[in-house]
Amino acid sequence: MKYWWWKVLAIATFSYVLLAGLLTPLKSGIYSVDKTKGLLGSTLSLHVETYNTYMSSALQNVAFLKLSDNKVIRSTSINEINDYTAKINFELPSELSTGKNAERATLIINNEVDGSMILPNAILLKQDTTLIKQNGAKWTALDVASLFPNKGFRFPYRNKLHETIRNTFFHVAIWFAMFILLIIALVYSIRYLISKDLQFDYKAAAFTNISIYFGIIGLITGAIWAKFTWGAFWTADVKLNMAAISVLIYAAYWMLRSSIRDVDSKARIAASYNIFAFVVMIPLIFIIPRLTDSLHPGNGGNPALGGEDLDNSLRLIFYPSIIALTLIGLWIANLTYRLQIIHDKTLEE
Amino acid sequence: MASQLLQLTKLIEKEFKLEFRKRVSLASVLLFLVSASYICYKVFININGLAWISLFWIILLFASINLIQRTFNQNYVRRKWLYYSFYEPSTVYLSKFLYNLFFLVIIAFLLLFLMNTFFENFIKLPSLFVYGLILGTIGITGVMTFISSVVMHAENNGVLMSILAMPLTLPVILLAVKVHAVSFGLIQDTAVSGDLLLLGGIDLLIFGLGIMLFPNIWKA
Amino acid sequence: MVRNYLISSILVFLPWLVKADSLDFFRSTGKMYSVVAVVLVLFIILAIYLIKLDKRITQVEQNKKHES
Repeated sequence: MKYWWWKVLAIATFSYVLLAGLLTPLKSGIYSVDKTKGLLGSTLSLHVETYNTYMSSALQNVAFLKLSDNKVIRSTSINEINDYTAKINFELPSELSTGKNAERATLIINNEVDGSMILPNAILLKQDTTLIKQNGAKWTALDVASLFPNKGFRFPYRNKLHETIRNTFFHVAIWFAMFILLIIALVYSIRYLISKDLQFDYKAAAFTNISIYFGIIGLITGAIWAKFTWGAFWTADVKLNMAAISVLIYAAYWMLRSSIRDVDSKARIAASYNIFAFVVMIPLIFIIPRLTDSLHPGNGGNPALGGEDLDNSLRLIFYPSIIALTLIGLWIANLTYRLQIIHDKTLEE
Repeated sequence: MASQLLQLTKLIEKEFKLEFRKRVSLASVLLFLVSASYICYKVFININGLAWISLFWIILLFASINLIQRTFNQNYVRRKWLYYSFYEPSTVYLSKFLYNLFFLVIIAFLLLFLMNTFFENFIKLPSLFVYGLILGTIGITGVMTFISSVVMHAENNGVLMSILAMPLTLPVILLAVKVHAVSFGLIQDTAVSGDLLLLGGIDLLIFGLGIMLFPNIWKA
Repeated sequence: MVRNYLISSILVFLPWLVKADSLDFFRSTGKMYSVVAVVLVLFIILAIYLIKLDKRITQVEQNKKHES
């Protein structure tokens, strides 16, 4: 127990991840709008439901429909029904004056308690060619300085993801941790082939073992998440299936180990297979998903998590989570390895 | 280098001699091809292009397992141990690989002929189809040859062979299926040459790894 | 025995524990349940691993006892 500090680090980091990851609230956001189209030159009244907001206690609610920074309509009135429902009225100008017949506008709600909520491409503004009314409403520029900023440390609000954005810390992090553990197993396999020292083989086996468990956790948590977001436990999505295949490859590694009797040839063959499987797995995980479209978040040709789905507030918890899960994996692999050594010694005696 | 080439030709010659002395195993693979594609014909009767490609690769995959499984048949290797010990492990591996590849390519073209007689001919770009076919077969042969050497010392290696090899052939097969879909005109893809290059790269990777790791397994 | 009782009691009372705190519409539309389920799965599978490890250690201990 000389180097115990990393075990403390593992527990502390994972506790931090659990606490911060589950207790930090989401930013307020727009959950649903009852209309998707608006006729230009008329009055548009929207029934809006929001999430995590305090609209009735806020005094300065204001809403905008935005085409670009210079083309914004300010709401004429907002009736807050309760904290998370409101009726918003817009006086739409008679022309888009962009040369197009129809364009999608972004809905923005702002108040001093919740900050800004944004729903991109919420309303399709249509030109009515038969009658053009003049109602005096005009496009104005958005004065960004007059908007109230978002307060406090909060996770971003994304439509469809909602609270499940927290799964980044568990579901995504466990895949990263699994991959790190597999790399460690690969390094031990290579070291075994160079030195022919059996302890490296035991270490490689222990690390592969725990990564299979991590992979199974990743698959099940992914299935739960998919059920809540896509409505099905399993889809034909590339990333899901590639992940399942890579777990299968390592399960096969375990079958291989158990079907060879002789210790030395077992170690040698398992190490060779491990290296081969790892290298063949790389195109499976990193190249094939790039070739096909995927529903998975962080996609559109990019299988890694990035862009809009991972902002700085999520990073503050996501990276510690990877470290914590990797350390827990290290710890468990370490126990398995030590047990194997003791097992061997009792057999020798 | 020259002596190694000589050894290689000697080994391959030996393989062919043995194969034609005992024709049963090759005949069984051929029979498997005919019966599998005939059953598919009776079951499906009319199929579309995508089903054609999937059937083609599934039948080819199982045929390759049947064919390559016995590459490092333990009894045979044990009997001829002394004979093999004169050669470098990499030469042995290369000879087995080339020999397997030769038969698998023949089998693939035979299967192509069978599928085209039973079902209709969908191929719009024959040269692209053949490139995909050859590169796919090289990849499958590489994986199967290596895995058959891996299961050489294991018990019940017939089952083990398929569970170890099938997931590993997946990247090759997925890419080959994509190339074939382009050659059928099912997908419009201008970057298909990139896919072919990627497939070739994966083949090279598989082959290189196999020849690098084989000596470790062979020694046991 | 004690362990099994503990696990099953947690599983039985969990929905009630979660509901008591957050019965409202927004928790359910926010899909907080899925996050809870994900954390639970993570913990349960790690626990299964620990139980298996426990069994292996017991086996080794008994091997040692037989020898001495």
